[in-house]
Amino acid sequence: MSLELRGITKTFGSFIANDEINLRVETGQIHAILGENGAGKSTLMNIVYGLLKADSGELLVDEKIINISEPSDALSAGIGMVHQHFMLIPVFTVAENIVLGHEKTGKFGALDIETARSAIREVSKDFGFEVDPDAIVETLPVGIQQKVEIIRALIYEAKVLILDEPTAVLTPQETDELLKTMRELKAKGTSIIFITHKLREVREVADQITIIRRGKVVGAVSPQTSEGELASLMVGRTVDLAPEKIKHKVGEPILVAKDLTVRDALGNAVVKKVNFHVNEGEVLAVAGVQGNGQSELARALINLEDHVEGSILLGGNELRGKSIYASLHAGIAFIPESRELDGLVGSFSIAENLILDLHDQAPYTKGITLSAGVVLAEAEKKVKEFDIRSQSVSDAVSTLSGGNKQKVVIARELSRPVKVLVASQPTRGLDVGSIEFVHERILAERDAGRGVILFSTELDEVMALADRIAVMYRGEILDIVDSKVTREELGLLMAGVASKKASA
Amino acid sequence: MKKPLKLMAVVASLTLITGVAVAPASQAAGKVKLCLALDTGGVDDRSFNEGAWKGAQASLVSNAEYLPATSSADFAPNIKKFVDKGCELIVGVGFAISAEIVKSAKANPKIKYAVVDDAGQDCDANWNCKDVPNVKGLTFQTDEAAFMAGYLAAGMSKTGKVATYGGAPYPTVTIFMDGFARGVAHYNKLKGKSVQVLGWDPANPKSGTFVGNFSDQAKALTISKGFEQQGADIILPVGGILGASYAAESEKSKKSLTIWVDSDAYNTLTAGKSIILSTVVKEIGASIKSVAKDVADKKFTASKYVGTLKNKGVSLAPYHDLSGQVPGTLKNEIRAIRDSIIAGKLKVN
Amino acid sequence: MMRNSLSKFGQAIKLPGLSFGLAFTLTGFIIAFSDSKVLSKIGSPLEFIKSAGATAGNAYLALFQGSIFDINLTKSHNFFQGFYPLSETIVIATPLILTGLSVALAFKSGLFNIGAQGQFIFGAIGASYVGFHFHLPLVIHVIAAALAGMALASIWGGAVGLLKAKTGAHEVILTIMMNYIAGYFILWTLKTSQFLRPGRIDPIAPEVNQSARLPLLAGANLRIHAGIFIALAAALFVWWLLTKTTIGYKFRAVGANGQAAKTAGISVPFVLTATMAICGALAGLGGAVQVLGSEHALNADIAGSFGFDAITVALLGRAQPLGTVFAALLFGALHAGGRTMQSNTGVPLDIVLVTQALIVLFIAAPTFVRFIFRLKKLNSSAGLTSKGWNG
Repeated sequence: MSLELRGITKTFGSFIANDEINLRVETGQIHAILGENGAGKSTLMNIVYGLLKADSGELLVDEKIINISEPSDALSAGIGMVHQHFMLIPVFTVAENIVLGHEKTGKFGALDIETARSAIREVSKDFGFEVDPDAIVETLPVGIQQKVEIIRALIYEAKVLILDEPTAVLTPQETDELLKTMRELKAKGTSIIFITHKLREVREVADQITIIRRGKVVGAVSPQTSEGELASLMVGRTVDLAPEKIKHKVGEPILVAKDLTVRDALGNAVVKKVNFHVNEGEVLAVAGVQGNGQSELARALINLEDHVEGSILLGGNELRGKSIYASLHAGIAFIPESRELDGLVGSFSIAENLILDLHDQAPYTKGITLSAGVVLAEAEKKVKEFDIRSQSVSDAVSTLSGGNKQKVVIARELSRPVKVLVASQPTRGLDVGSIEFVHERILAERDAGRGVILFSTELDEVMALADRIAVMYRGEILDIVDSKVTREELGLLMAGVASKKASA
Repeated sequence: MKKPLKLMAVVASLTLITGVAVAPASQAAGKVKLCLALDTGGVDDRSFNEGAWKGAQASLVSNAEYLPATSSADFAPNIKKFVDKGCELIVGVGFAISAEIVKSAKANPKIKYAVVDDAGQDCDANWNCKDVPNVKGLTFQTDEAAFMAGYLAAGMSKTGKVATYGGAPYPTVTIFMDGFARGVAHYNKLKGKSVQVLGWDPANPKSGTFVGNFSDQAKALTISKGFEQQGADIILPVGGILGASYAAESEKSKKSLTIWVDSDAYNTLTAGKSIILSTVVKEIGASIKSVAKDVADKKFTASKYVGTLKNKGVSLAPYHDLSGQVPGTLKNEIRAIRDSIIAGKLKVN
Repeated sequence: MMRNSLSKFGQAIKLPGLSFGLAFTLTGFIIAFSDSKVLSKIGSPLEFIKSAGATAGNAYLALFQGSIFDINLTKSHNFFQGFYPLSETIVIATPLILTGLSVALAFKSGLFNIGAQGQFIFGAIGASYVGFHFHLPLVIHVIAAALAGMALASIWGGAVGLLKAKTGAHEVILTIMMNYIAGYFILWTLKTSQFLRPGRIDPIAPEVNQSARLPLLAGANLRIHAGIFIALAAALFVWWLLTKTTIGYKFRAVGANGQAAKTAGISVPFVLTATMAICGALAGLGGAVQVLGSEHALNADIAGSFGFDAITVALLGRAQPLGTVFAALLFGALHAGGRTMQSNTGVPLDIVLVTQALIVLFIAAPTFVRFIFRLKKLNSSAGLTSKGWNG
């Protein structure tokens, strides 16, 4: 089945989200739509799926104009969608989730779940998925949950499958698995619209690439196009993807972790006796597949975890057991894994968020009152320095884009005297432009002689920034290697296969 | 929705402008304007608020109205409202309102006041109490009727155990329990038996069983069930509607019979009638009627009204459905006890 | 600037205002339709509408007479006395403002303080004891009594914050349970020889000394007392605390996103304890003002439903100090007016409770109000209640 979009235009007030967009997806083609966050990709797909109505333009399926005003129209036209945030009920089983909205009842009004079960098994067999129809969704890994969404679309006979940022939540392994699945779907004749901003994946799997910038199609290119070119098209200027590692001076160890163990509330060790150090002017990356104890280790470094054993020495002073406040003000800057949950108070203004850690210190406070003038003035300075784009520093931080939110967090964390920067997944969910900015800041800190501990599940990021790489697997640091390691070696370590050097 | 809103506003403003306010009830000439300031609990509490209001309505010599209280903070403004409205007799229902009644009475010597369950006296810090000339206390020797109920319970108990508990240890509550326990003791003395009273011992008031308020029926039910398990087969809950859940439950389980208080439960309860052995009746309504008549006849005095068996201010209600189960001899003995109390030959306290 | 803040204000009161109007309209129907005189005229529509309008109109006129101004009182007394109803409204609103502020402040820190009732009781006990037991100079006595009440209630409230911080126990459960304890504690207190009023056997404490009473503002015939200034000052204080101070900043940060606040080094246990201590002090001041201002003597029922109505008041006031003041005044007016409505027109006081409930219902269901009035966008406060539960 082919799908064609002709002159789709959508405006929100004076803001043009989609401007005369044309594109064509051929039968059995993987068509990637590439664009930065806010470029208009999601708006476009929501129009195709019937969640939004276009101001003008038309949709053609197999050369015939169709009218889609709600998702059920899209479904009956053979268009399925897997949303970035899954539309699954966590406490239901896979089969129950799949019949949701299509409940058929058998005798005495009982829910007919058996048909769904066998359909799931059938689809799973066809595509080699291992999905148990009776598993409770919330107990499944994210990758499998995504497959449940795909199965649902397939069971309801989607011929065009829209995948909205499907790899944003996946580990590298899960990503590879998804790309494989996409190829299989394509081989069986399903067309796929693949929305993403990750260049490597696009080049690996797409047949055709359409690039959208500020609501307009700015390029239709083949997957042979280089990453640099794609990035430039996306951002609208030349982008430095792999920042050059200039020679920098590595100094003395500034933070040393000895036999550090972190336990969860139940007493299970999630980080097991790890030892590492970071030197002044050095980036130590902690790599690993999501969920191997990195998050807890990062949090433990500023005493956010409750049950920690061992020792954390910052410049020779023990930090373990001190308060979070003490850790932060001893010289650790902390970029938490989730900007929204741990980094920012969404309803607070940008200015208020910039003093979350310093609000009770001079010059922001006088006696017990806040100095509103100083707070605003300092915020204006920070907004300029870190290029935080907003109407006013009094705007609620929740109105900012992901990249600008992260800039607020970074600006705040670097406003204290810093000895070590702990950054946990600092570029997760960011667009290329923002990633570039974050990377530059991290390297700038390193060049200024600070120690940086970078927790990341993105291999590209780890390879691009790290001086040394510690790989975590099941709560342990399997090995600490230097940055000359290959992708393959690193991948093996992340999968739990210890390197020769470590086992020797 | 918009239109009715406008209409309402128009109507409201019209009445405001023209000052057309309809007087609620036409004032019949010569009748006493009788105003009841109720205690918390609402007018339909199936207890003393309700009893008082019914009595006031039944009074032929007066036009009655009432104001309910949502908390004790309403007492003073409610009374003030009545003063401003020109009420001739203001009755405070319940001892809790007594202080405010006395205060208002002293400020408005021309208005007559009465207060239920309290002497309505003005006391100083040294317990020197004196009557206020325009306040009449309406009190009740409920222990006289409760004494009869105790005798009845002891005579009817098969297990040799009866029980009582109260809403809160207020004197107006414990007087029931005192009379009940002494009635049982009287039975034991006469008959040489040893029927036990659970939940109250007049000699040791601190050990008494109380719910803590007058509204928690669930807790009252729990307490009742506890007594049933200890073997009590007749229970007297003292606290208005408090025992309603228990009565309804007991009607099903048949584990115990109930003796009610205040107004005859047979006429007010919806569930549990069949296990109501009797009621220790406190005729609040009669007392209010009596004081209203005094005012109408210009015979009002500050001397306390005391409801007794003699003046029928308190009584033991009929046995109703259970009458057949009460032995004739027991009925006669109870009648004799009443006569002795009325004649002053038998002291209940 | 001026215009901007005006439209902001308009925006803020739009939803409560509409809910208010809608509730009154509905209540009007209930009043009219529950009147047998009105119903008897159902045969002739015109008569019926006239009668219904008159009944509801009279009820609301009485509500006005009972809460703001009563012309009849100016005839029987003097012009000034016509404002007796307004004085009553303010007397009831005064403690309600304070308990409402207590709940509102807790909301700002992400806490749901159901415990204003218990805190009120302890404030009343403290103020009462200092008020009748000691003999102190004029101004000092009333201040000492109020402070004693606040201190006691502050400890009582602060304990909730501390328990939550140290054990993770939910403040809603803690405060509900502590309300029970406070309720029984006052019963016990009033039975002790320290508190029992001489000459009385029922649970009522001696009246506080003249020196410990809040001065009346408009002579002996009106009950309005200086407590209203205390309540307004408290509202100003809460506003200042929340918007101008570092402590208030901490409160709001923890309330809006406790995780982020913690990660940035703000001590959540401190915020929980401090918030609840201040909330306790506010509700306790409410109890103190009630004893020292209008009741003068502690009794078992002193708290009425001030602590529970406070939740509604805070919600209606959208957890804003100024909003809480207005909401409390509205509730005070409804309560005071309800008395006259019952007395003059026979419409039961309970109808006022129905109106209150309807107002809250519409506040809690902004979508419904929006639907009825075809409003596009109203910034709702619906998130407020749920937020409190996240704690």
